[in-house]
Amino acid sequence: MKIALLLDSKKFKFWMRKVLWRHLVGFVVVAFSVFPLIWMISGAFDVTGQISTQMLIPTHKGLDNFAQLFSNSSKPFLIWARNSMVVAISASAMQVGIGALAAYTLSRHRFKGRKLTLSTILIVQMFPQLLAATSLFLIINTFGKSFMFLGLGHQLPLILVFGGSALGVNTWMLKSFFDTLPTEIDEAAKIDGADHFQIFRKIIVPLATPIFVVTFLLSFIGILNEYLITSVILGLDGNKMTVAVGLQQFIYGQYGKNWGPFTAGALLATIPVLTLFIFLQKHLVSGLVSGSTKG
Amino acid sequence: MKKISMSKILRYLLTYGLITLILVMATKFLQDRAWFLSVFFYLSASLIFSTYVISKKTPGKYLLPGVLLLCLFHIYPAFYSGAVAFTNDSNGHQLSKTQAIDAILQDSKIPVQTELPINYQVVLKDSTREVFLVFKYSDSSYWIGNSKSVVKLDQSQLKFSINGQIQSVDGQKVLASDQVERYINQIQNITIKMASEITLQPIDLETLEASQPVFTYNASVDQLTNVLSGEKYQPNDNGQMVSDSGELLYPGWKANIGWRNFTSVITDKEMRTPLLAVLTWTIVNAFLIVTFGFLFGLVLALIFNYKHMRSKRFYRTIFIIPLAIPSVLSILVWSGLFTAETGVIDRIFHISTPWLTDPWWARVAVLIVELWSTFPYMFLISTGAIQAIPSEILEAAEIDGASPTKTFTQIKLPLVVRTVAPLLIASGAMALNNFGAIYLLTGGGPTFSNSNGNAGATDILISYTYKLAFNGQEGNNYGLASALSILNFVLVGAISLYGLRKMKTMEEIN
Amino acid sequence: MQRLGVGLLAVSLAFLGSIAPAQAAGTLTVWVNSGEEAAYKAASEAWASKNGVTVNIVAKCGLGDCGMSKLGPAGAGPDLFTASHDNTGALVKSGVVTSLSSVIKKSAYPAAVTSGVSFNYQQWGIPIAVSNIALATNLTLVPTGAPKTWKDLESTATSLIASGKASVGIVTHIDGYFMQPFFDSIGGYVFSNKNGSYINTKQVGLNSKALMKNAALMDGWLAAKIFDKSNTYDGSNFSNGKAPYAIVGPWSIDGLDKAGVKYEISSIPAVNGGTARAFSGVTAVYMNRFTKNNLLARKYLVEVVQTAAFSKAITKANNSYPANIEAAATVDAKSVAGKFGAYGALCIPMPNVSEMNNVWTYWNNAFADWASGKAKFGAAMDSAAKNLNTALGNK
Repeated sequence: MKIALLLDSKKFKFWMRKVLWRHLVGFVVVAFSVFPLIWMISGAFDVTGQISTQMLIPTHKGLDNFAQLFSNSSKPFLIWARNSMVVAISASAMQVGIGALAAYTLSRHRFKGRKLTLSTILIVQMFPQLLAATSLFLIINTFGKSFMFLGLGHQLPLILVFGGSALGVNTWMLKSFFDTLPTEIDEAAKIDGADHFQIFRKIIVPLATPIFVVTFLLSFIGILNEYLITSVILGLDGNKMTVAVGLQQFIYGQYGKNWGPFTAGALLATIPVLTLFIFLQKHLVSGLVSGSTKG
Repeated sequence: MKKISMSKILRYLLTYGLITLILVMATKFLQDRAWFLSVFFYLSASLIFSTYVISKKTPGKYLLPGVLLLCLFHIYPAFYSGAVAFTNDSNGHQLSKTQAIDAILQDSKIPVQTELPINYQVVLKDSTREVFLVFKYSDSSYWIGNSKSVVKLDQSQLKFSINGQIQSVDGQKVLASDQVERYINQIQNITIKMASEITLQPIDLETLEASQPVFTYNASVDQLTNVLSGEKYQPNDNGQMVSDSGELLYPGWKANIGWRNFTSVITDKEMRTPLLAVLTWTIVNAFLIVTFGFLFGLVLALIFNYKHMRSKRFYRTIFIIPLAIPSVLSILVWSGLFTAETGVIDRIFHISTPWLTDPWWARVAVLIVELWSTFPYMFLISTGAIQAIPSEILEAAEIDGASPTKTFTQIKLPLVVRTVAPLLIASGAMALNNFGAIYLLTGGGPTFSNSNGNAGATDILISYTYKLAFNGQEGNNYGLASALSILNFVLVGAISLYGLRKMKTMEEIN
Repeated sequence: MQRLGVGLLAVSLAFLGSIAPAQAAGTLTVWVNSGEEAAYKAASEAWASKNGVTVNIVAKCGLGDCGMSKLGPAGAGPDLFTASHDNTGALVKSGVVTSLSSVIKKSAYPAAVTSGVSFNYQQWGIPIAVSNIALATNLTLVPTGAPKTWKDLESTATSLIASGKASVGIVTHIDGYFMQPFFDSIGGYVFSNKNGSYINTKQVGLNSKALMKNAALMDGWLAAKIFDKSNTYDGSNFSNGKAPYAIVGPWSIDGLDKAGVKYEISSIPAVNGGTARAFSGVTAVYMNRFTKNNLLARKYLVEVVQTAAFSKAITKANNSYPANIEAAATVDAKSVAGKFGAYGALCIPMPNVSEMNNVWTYWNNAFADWASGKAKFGAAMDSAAKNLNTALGNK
């Protein structure tokens, strides 16, 4: 009994000395991490809708901000959400699909120009597309001269622009994953008479599904977050905007600074991404860390 | 006969359909004089044809879609910036030279007052269905014509109805008024040139407006003459017509101006000073954020990589929350929280800091937000690097009696830094273009008072470029913006190259 | 199989080639400010169905020129678009608009309005609405209502601040546009003008003699918290009852009504008596030079846009004041729009020369420097004027 107590107190002292402060630091960093999120939540439910009176726990709670968000015909949140989905899903599908095709051949086949292709991709991905945003704007404008639907203010060119950078976005990551898949399986399939595309479709793709999901999600989040190119190509048309560009409209303009509906919309847009992230934390984090070497 | 499988037909349809589509697009680009795009699309079509139909080689089949799109939407824009940087592409210089001169001629016309409005009626020539306008001119004579020609009519050629309306010309009936509207597209493009430079143009479906030009253009010497003052205008090297006395005519046209976009940022003090400040902040900001972010992340990793501590997973999950909130939105929330005096931050800490209006505080605000968004990543990679240190090394050090500080500075730190160095350089290259954190938080502001073009204290190259091209109150200057993006390309390239080198040496070391 | 493919290719090529890029005849596309599309649609409907024309109203514009300088020459622009009149000079110099001199019925508008859309002796836009900022008074804090004189305003604000009932006097955004009335009131001007027509951009008045003499007044007002220098667009100090006055525009009205503030709109008193003149802006419809529906667009302008009913319908929807004289006569003088209009009649048109672009930069920066305490008002304006003169190549 006495010994146990002693042990206990020793353990406790140790905890006090070596562990407690870590938790204190942890608490501060946690507060920093969630700071904007907390205020986003409290703002969303604060019916006064003003930054200047906002309290951590709203004094006037309610769902007014959400009602306002959904009833504003010139700032149609639901249409923005749909636009974001359309653009992000199609572009990330393109990025993953095109990237996977290229990664497959770069991983499995040996051919002249392979090294050159790999190093070109490495160099290209150092220069993010947004560096040439001005040119992209001018080029899409030229497209629009000949084909309306490929011009500024349309979603198709935006999808193509994002999808078009597939090789520069995730080919290396996919390739290094394919490299870890044993080639023996391909060989066996080849002997059974499978051609290269069948090997890709029936063997590689099923095995690589997890990494596809990760790259897809990373692309998806990246595109949802994109502001510069999206705003430049889609322009000011209220019905064409994405959530990222559109929500910003709420906090522009005198007396039109609608902090309430803005935070409500931001919260709605954050929840799915946040949930996804926390659930798939392990995979996404490893993807982020390994994929980030290339920027 | 060999059975043709469904999938094969589908594949052929797909391939040929795509090729057809691309060819059609290429032809349309050719018609619209988009030379590069046209050539690129023709080339793409033939590449697709040779890769998927003729060639037996596999790799190309997998690479081609990615490569073509990459060329069009990633590499071409980069080189296009290079081309635009040598032009004066900006507001007021959007038209082609022909369009610009046409606009000058058209806009300066002076309406000629006529006693009665010149009413017209429409006649279709039977054989060609060509549209002609018949009208009674101010001198009471009757004329028929269109943009190509105009001739005087003899009374005998005309037949009038009882109320004085023209009924037919040379036996050709004029169109009834409800018919005229169907030819509106032809009618609206008609300009009739009468004698002594007077032109007639329809302003609605029954009236012609007579006007007199102020300028005449002589194409052979490329010269505009003001017929009222006699002043002559010649093209200058900036795509505009200018008189000897220096008077400029608008609009101008898009012209090649050589290196002027580049030289102007050096010679023009109004541009040089802000640009230098922007360039400095671009580099300093990237450096600071990677340094602070890494130090913060490393310290956290050291603190929380402690075996006797519980709820480490909880902390880790919370720490990565900044990564999980769409950054556009979180930055906008931050910008609200930073509002001076009434903002949440100032109210919590009972301060009244002009966060977004004072240059230095704005920079601090930018750094805080960037720190918030980068430390999770830095924490993750540092944790990974610490955990990757072989435990034997640490044990050996302990046995040798090395103090914890010594173990840290001489073993842990060098090993961690060595592992993450390439990642840090890559992050640095990314931070150079951290557009969102700047533009959505401060808009690059507060703006310098002596700058032409709205550069501000927190502007980095990419945000300044964006403002020049898309947000400038002083007109959208695409040419100058492109010149600055080239500068940005060079900057990013240099740092990335350094990173690649470093990575190579790392690989050699390992 | 290969040959089949090539044949298929040829046939489909021929087929696709034969489809001419046709634009539906009888369609007019009009770009308007976001949020106003419903009003335009409603006001055009009758004409459209009567003439069998589709009028396609698209919310594409915000501030500035709707991106027309790029989209127009690219052939991606609409037939008509709305813009505020101060863009006229820049639009004309970009060569993207067509003269509407032969369309506009000048007698239907006040001279100040038509001069706003005129440039280089031609008329370029058909005016719809006039909008300007005005003074809003919080009737809960100031039961006596709008101030008659500047002294009145100043003493009310000072005593409310002293008693702690208010934290600032006038909530305003500290920049050229919002501060113009006060700037005007102490003798400053942008360019010398004659009847609202700004021809001489050589004479910059940012540092006019009168202004430099009175500049210290502005410093005093700022120190006395007459102006809210937090310089945010958020007008919350006024809607929360922390400020007796605010500078507001027609676009603020919805927000104020929603916040439940009791307010009165009035003109802004000048320091030496009379009225401090704000800039008035004209919203007008412009025609794309590259429109393929020239005559149809003109017809729409004459038969719809130029009518009093149209001007009235649009302005009713956005709380602004009709540009059309006949429509303006029907506005109740006691209504919010009427009060904006009454003050607007005393205002001066915002310069529509393209040189304004440079003015905004330096002028706004000078205000920002002054508000942040970096420079005294006189010094800030003096250096802005010098920078502006250099930029415009004056002297």
